[in-house]
Amino acid sequence: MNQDTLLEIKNIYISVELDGHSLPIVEDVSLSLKAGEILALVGESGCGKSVTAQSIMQLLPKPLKIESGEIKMNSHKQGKIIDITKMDPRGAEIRKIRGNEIAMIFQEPMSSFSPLHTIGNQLMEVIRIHRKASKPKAKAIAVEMLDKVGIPGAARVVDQYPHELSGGMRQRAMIAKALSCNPTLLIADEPTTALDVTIQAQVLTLMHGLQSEFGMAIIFITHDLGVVAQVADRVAIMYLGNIIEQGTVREILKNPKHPYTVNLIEAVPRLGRLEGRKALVPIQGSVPSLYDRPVGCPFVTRCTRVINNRCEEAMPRLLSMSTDHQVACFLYDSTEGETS
Amino acid sequence: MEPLIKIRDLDVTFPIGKSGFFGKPTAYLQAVSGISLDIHKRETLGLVGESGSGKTTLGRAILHLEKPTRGKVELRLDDEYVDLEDLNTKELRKIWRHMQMVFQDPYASLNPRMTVREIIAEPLVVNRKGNKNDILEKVEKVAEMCGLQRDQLGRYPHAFSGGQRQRIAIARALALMPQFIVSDEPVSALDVSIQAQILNLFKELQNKLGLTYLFIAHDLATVAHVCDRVAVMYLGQIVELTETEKIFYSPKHPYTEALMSAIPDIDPDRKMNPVLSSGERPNPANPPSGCRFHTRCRYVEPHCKEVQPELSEIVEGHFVACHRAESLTLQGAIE
Repeated sequence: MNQDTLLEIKNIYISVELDGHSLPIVEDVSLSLKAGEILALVGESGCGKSVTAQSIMQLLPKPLKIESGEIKMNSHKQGKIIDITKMDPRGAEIRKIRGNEIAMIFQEPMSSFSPLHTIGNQLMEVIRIHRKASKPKAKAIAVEMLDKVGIPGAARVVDQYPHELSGGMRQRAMIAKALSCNPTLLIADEPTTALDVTIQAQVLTLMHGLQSEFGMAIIFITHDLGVVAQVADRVAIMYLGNIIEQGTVREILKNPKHPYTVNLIEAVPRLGRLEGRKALVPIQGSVPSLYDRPVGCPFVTRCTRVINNRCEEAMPRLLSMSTDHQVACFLYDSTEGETS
Repeated sequence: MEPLIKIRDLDVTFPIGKSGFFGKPTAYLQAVSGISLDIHKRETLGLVGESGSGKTTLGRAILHLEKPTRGKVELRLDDEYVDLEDLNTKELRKIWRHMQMVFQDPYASLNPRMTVREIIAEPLVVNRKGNKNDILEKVEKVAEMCGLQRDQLGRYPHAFSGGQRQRIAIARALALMPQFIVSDEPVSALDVSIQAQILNLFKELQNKLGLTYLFIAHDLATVAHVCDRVAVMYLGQIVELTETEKIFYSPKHPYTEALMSAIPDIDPDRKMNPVLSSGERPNPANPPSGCRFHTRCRYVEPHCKEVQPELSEIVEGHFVACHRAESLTLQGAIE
């Protein structure tokens, strides 16, 4: 593992146990993340983006299991490289990581705060466990964090309950909680989807500011390509449990190669096209269910550029188009018959 | 041209808080406050604003699914205006043939125990539109128009994906051949790749049947794409109303500016430059005095805190409720 690499996911394979069958939900996904980088994980519901992120914290719900692969992290606080997949999801080792080195924020802040405890108590809990601070010290840190995320009157808010805050303020409080132990990696699972556009802009601006201040890396899960373009450095597009294209944001959004990425960009209404107001070009069909996962390329059932005898038979490899642009599609794979 | 729907001084007030179980309400929340609006035939009017601004309540009040506390709604039928206020429930049901609603969540709005054929046929049966064979024929016709295959009609909603379900919901709304459809966030529960299919279907049906839409949505890019005119709501009031291009690129109300400049564009070279409105959204049960936006407005003047601005036409077809509308130069969405 490279020195400046923070996180490396290698050939991770996650399955779900349904009606006695084991179905793949994330297939052979590899990702790497540098320190201080913002990576966007994009895809439609059910593509495995949240599951991939949860596996990084060993937070997979019961029927889901990591079958194989490794998730390695360069732990700055422990000064060594650790393999998260080897840890017991309920053990002490992973608890040292969760909330401390890797923190997570969710789409709906109401459901990730306990309604029975004050904002301050919930922040102090994290701080006291991981930073071994005394109660008054922890409270001071909590107020400082709330202030940093732009909550007016932080000293008062610290004693309030989550229901007393508005959606945007709650999201800020959750960010404060996530950042209170100075994590090196922040996983943000659709953090702005439930927010109004003006509040979304505030939260995105805030996250960008905090990212440059704290220098943490962010994995940003979203389905909104606009948000991706505005905040991320790199992007990985997922479809049915596979990464089908990844690279720098500019490269992927301006020069997409995979038919799914191309179609997705075409299908999204955009302001710039207002004059013409042409009909949008929709993607035919819909995402197949887990039970109907097609053989070969996962996008084959909806693709308009299927190559006979190839796409239905094997999963294309992720090939490099340029230094930072990889795509998994047979249109760009000239090697005959070879699969991996 | 005479508008299809005339809305005048519409108020919808909900009682909130109670003094004891049988007690009287202690306060009232004005979800829609003094809205006047014309909706023209064959147009798509967009309704935007943050959550809690009263978009859905206005949509429901226009259909009288929610009884307005004040004001009136008139629908033009055969060259005459019908005032919905005067109608009893039975007469309202007849009017609803001409006005229908499509809801946000196609998973919650279809009865799981009815087949698709029964779902689409239900409004026809209720309104006694012909005998069994006529109805079945109509169902098939409207289903086909909405992109559903004939052999799918015997199935139950659970067998369909989100996009297909929304087609069923649209087919049901269209079964009585209404003139006006309120669609409340019709695509926001759908996957990105499916949204385009449904948006195109809306457009296609409008061209074919001459429909008029009230399109409620929070995704501004979608609104820009489908709407002819857009009304911006803030705390129960319309603050700006005009053609889509003007709303997006030359807004005249500071709140519209805050909305439009916050749209994240898909082009990474066009970084957004949000004009952030300061402060928190006020409690709708206790709106600020004067202009309701003054607590967050960056152009606020003392006058704004006292006098409520009227929605007035500053240029032809451009309505703004702001004291400073004519003197401010505001930023729109990135062009």
